[in-house]
Amino acid sequence: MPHRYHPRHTALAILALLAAITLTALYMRSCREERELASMSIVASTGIDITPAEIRSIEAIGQWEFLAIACEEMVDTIRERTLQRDDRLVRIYTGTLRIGLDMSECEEGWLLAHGDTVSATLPRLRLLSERFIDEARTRSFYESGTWDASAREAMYAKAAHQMRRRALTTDNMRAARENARQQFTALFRTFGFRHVELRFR
Amino acid sequence: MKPLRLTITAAIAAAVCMASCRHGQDTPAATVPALDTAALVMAVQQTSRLYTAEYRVHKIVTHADIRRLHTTILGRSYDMPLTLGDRKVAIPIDVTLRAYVDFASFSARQIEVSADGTVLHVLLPEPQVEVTASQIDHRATRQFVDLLRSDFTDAEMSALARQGEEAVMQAVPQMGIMETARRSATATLIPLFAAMGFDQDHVVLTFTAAPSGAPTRSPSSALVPTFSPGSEGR
Repeated sequence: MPHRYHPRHTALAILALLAAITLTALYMRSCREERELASMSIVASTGIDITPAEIRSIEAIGQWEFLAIACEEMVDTIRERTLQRDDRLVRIYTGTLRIGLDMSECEEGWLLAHGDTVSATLPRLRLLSERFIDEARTRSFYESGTWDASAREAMYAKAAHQMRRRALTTDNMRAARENARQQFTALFRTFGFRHVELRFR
Repeated sequence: MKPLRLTITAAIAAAVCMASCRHGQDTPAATVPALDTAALVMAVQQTSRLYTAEYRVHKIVTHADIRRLHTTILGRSYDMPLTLGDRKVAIPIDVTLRAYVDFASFSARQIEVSADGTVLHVLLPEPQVEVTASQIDHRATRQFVDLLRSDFTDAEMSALARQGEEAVMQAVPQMGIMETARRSATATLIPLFAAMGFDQDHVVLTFTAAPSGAPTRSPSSALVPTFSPGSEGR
């Protein structure tokens, strides 16, 4: 039986051809614009929300820093477990210990000037602040298991202890004192004093 | 032989199960954590900074970890929230900010004395602000995690705390710390100059934004040589 030509078939063929042309055009356009034809991904938010910063205290101070010791301390804690792998948390703490003197500790008459001579009795050099760890800059190096607040507090305390031990050495205190002597001498000479006598309490 | 093989298989399976179940709560057999430390970097720097103001700032860093399905079809983007579950965390942090005047490059070029030697004009660099410390309140940190999600990791919480600290630093201009720093520097330095022999009512301090080493005023002959300290300190 001879095949009969039907107008509906022609219309369908034309529609199919148009659809193919449209899809090809869209595909070529997406290729030209270096875009994927279709993609799918799961996106997670990483930014923090906008919250206010509350000023808890304002303090006017007068502390002269002469030596800054930047430290990084890796603290490793392990919790042993029976028949299981041990839990482990490794954090790297960052801190800067500042050695200097507090001008509020100067005694009455600590500075005497006469003619071209100045004599100053400076307070003892010390660690200027007990808060020296920048915990927000801590890097988490390895974590397995669940760790509570007390474990992190213990690690912070350990890092602070170790940083103090390594930074507040006799050599560093001597270097700070020497730098203080140089800086104060230069300052007084800047103001025209030829003879500078410095003492530390 | 068969029951023996079954018993051995069951024992191995139990051991594997116990070993793989690592992320649960502590078992009674868990011991007190042991701490070990190692110094990584230590850099020593000689400085000459006068710290004049300290601000302690508290901030609760919050973060909502909402997952979204991002689809792109033929160049068009579609976003829809996934209903797998949300995670939220609130981390309170305390940030210590300190303002300082850097005397490292202070020189005679920044001092000017009037011709009659009575008025002292000192040019100081503008105070600078830095974060000197921060502490996370771990006990007050709260996590709200849906069943299908895992807890926030230590690395994730550290990254959020760092963002919180940066947000505090960005808010510094609105805190008025620079003005406090200038006032406090004046309160510290004027008595020092007075003790050197200057009348404290005739000492002028100017804070300049120019780099401290730059010649902000011409180093003229009207500087130090005309100064004649003579009075006793306080």
